[in-house]
Amino acid sequence: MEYSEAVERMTEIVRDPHAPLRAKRVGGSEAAGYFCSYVPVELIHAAGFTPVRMLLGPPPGDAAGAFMQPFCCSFARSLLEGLADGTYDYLSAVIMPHTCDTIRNLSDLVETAAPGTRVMCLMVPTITHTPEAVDFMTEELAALKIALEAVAGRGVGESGLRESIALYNRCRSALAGLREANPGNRLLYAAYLALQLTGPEEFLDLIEPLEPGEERAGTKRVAVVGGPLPLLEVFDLLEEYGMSVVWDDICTASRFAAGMVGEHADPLRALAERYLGRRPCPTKLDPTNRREESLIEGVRASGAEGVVFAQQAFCEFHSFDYPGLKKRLDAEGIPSVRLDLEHPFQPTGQMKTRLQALSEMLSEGV
Amino acid sequence: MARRLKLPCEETMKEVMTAYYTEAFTSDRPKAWVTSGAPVELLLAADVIPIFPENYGAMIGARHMGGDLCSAAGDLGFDDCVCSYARCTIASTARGEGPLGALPAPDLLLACNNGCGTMFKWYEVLSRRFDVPLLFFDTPYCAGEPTPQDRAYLVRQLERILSDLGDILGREVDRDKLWETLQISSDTAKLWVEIQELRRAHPSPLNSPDMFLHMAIIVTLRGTDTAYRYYQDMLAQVRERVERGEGAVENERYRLLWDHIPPWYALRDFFDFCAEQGACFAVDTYTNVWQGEFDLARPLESLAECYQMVMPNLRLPLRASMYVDYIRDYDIDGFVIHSNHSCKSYCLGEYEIARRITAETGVRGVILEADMVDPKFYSEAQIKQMITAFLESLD
Repeated sequence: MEYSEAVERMTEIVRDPHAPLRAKRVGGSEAAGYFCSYVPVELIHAAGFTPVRMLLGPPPGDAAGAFMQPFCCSFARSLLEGLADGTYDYLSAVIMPHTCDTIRNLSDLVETAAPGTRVMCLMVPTITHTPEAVDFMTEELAALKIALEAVAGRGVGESGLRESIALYNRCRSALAGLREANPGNRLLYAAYLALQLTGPEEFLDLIEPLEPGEERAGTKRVAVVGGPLPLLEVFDLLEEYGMSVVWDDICTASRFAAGMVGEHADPLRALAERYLGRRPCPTKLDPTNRREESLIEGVRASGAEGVVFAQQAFCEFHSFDYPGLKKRLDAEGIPSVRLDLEHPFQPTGQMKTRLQALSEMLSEGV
Repeated sequence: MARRLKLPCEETMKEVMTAYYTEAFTSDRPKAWVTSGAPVELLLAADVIPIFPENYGAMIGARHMGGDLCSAAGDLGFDDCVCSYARCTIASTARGEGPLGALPAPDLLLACNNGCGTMFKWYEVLSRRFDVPLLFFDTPYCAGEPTPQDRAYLVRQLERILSDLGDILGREVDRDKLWETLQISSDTAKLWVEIQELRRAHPSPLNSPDMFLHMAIIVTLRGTDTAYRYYQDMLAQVRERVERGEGAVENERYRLLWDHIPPWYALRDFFDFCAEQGACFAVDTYTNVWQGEFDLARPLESLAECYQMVMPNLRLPLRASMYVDYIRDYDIDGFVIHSNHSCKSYCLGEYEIARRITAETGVRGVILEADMVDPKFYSEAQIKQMITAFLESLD
């Protein structure tokens, strides 16, 4: 398969993940939705469900407005809208982790706004680096496993879980290879998203036969930092300004995909260790400032010359981190811009001006 | 202008708080900045002076310094979706401004996320700003009784915090002193609950703005003899007021529930406006957060449970049932919910809670959009208009 065809097929998955999953359900294959990259997809898959990352519902409307204040991010409001209006009616369960304050509260609202939705809460510890946090996460995963087994009507055996772990590790390796090939923003970020919106088997069928194509290294190498970023239009917009994304700290891209799960240890503990051990997202305690250090290391290692912060408007957790990260980038002489995103995405004049300014700085070799 | 009845103990309160801040600013003892929902008893037992930036945020708001300081935080890169307590105190630190200048620099920080996730983000910023260690107590969201994994996780964290605290201070935390502090804290919380329960009287002896004032000591000094003695006196004085049939609001006509932190900059203006119309807030959710009795037979387990199971850390059905109980127990005619721009944790779910209260009790309410410290989200004319219309609808 050539890049152009892969772009088309993966973009289609991102554009409408629901229709194929609904069709699969008719055929007897069930799916379970999940919020946030701290939910182990391997466990959902091993229980017999296609894990579907809940990334974008319809634009927030009356249903969301009846339950959530307008100062909550449009990402969360959109998902509540989608659960209420039936966009996600094919899901057998929805797994909601305890991450930010908004998503935590949303888990309670879903049960009223979308009656009949089977919500499973996963208490992800805010601390990620201590033995007691790993033990707690392992116990929480054991509880989630029991809940999933009850819905699936079958047990999750250790060997089955190991197989799912191995399968997702293969997917992650394939994504790492694709990034190395530098296929351009659209294909790379569509591929990250596609793995979260379809089964790993289908994903490997798409990505493994991919012929190495022409590198699409933009002249301006940038890093992107943010939370969930399911909007391919944002990456296209960067490309319009000649920017190629060579590194990211995005929870729907490399923060989702980086880091393998150990295949030889106790599988639930291996999952807990991998998911907590990753570069932390802003909802996790970061006592050693790993986010800042990894940003600087990532920028240097990838040769990025500038940074684009692309975060959800009203995201308090990212907004807390932003001044420190920005200050450090300034101190290192790395230019950056910030885009505050809302759903539906409208590239505003201000965004374009900021990107133009960054683009010009990069051209000048700042 | 509505008259506000003062309790005699208010004079003591001024002395106590002055002495507390004087010591915090002048003492050589180690100081910790601590979130209002963190287990401050650990610090007191370790002879560390606790300093509460949230209290200071409230002071900044009440002294009408919030607008300038929040704007200054914007200049530092913190946008409006960040908690205004965090914004104003970060700016106060950076600029050396505030009701008492900048708070004294901490030697360590203690944060807990039982109120919101904001707390640890705010304290991370402070930890980097002051280059001091951050001790953090992670309390999982609670659906009722803590799960076995919750209990183990919480107690192991407390053991780790005690050990880290000992390492930072260069001396072990005296466990006997800790148990003694827990006992005092628990006894003080009992007094606070008794005072709250006296508000059920008709007319109510205390209005919510009174509680916002008197809560300063339970937040800041719980676990000390000073706090215990203060609330003993206050309890006696409130009892006398009930026996005299004296209401906090003259000619109490409406008994209301207040939800959330108040807009501190409008405290007098807003609550006086309500009182002038005979509205007394006989109960509020916010000052009821400081409850919890410890079981000294299993001190750390009990400490963990109490701090995990505070109202904002409970799942929505539990929270909603607490509101319904307040409506019934305090014979409430209507409720006023502050949809606080700064606080997603406490606010998200308010719309649904309002519906559940009305469905279960028939009591109606109004939701006001504002912020606790940043006045730019407060529209005085609009809010007063809403309150007037709401009170009229209760007749």
